[in-house]
Amino acid sequence: MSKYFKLYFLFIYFIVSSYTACAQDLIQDELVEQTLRDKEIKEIIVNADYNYEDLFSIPIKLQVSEKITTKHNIQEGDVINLRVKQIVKYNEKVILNQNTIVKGKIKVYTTKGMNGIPGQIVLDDFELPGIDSRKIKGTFTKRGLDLTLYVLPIKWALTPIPFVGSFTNLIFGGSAEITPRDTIILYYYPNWHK
Amino acid sequence: MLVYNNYEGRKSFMKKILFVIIILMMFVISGKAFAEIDQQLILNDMQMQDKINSIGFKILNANKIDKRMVFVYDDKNKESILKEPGLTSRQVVVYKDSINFADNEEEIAAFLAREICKTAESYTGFWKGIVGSAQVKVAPKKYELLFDKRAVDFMVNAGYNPLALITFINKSFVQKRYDMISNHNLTSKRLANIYEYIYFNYPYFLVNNEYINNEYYQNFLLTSIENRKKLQQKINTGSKERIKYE
Repeated sequence: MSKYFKLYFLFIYFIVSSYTACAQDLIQDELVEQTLRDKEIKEIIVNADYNYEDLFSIPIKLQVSEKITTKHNIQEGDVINLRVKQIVKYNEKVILNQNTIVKGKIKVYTTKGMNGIPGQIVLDDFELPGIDSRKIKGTFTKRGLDLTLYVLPIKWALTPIPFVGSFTNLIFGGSAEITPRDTIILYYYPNWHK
Repeated sequence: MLVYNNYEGRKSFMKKILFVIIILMMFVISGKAFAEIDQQLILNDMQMQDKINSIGFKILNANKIDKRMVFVYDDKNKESILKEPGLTSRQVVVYKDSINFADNEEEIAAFLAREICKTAESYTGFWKGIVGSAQVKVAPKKYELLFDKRAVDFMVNAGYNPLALITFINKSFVQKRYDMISNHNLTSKRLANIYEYIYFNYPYFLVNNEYINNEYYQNFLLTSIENRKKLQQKINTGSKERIKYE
């Protein structure tokens, strides 16, 4: 073995060992390793090639199958089932039949708050069979009973009297509820994406 | 007119002339240098404004946000609890002090996505959004977590990695002792909530983690061990209750 070959070998060994030492120093996310690694994970759809020139849209009316409320524990990210309320046609062709099951997600929710602030639920990420989600416009937000319009002026009027303004903190807004009676309207723009 | 007949007199006159020329040259050079510095600063501000506009409008378009707002880069003033230009004049103001913490485009996007979310809230509620804005002002703690989570959605739709929101908040927000009577949540609580939101909604970014070698993300992993254990427990038990993060 030549002298240069030994030096070269030592150099490579040094590089590889220092790299693995560095890699061992990193903290690994065990939660991900244990719970997500073996699961099938969907690729992310990015809305990059948009073209909002076209004005033509078709409304799609949906309703939830079961009541969703912020009174009980719900999980952000939970997939929910919705039903198509009315038949949807495009160019005389049926694209969604009545009662077709559509998937949506509970994106975020807040519980009711002090000073009459209502709870709210946001539904998004609708997956309609045969329709590109990038051509759908509509995020559904439902709020509970909003009392801030009455409570905040009272609060500010009472604030000069020490501590009295804080009593309005005891008035809570309403929890948000989405029931099958609510109509969720999304708009399908067939020509939006390039 | 002064006439110097002798050699010493001429020499002293030449010295004075030379001195005046040097002083004049110094003024000219320093003036030019200051002008160049000013020009450079203006150019930097313009570049920053351009970058913020481009990222901001990309987020708005990709998320189909049909509410008007503008982006302003401010290198003079500081962020103040009294000023809320996002809620009052639908302006997303990016203060130099805040954006200095951003290392890359994704972290700038993280900052902007959060502010866009807050500004969009000013369009909701009675009186053309005045009541919605008042709600955000009255209960900032409640809305803070909501904006963090929606910012994650906005970033993902626009093609940015939402883990940049974690790294940005981790290095730019202080950790207070308590949040019981504060207007804001503990930063560790916010980070844990963002992590949980990404875990349940966009696990793709955690499995294909591009930020695992990032120092700030590693620091987040180090400082969030207890909170992540709580999340692990929630996942294992299948509970839907909100976790009380610390």
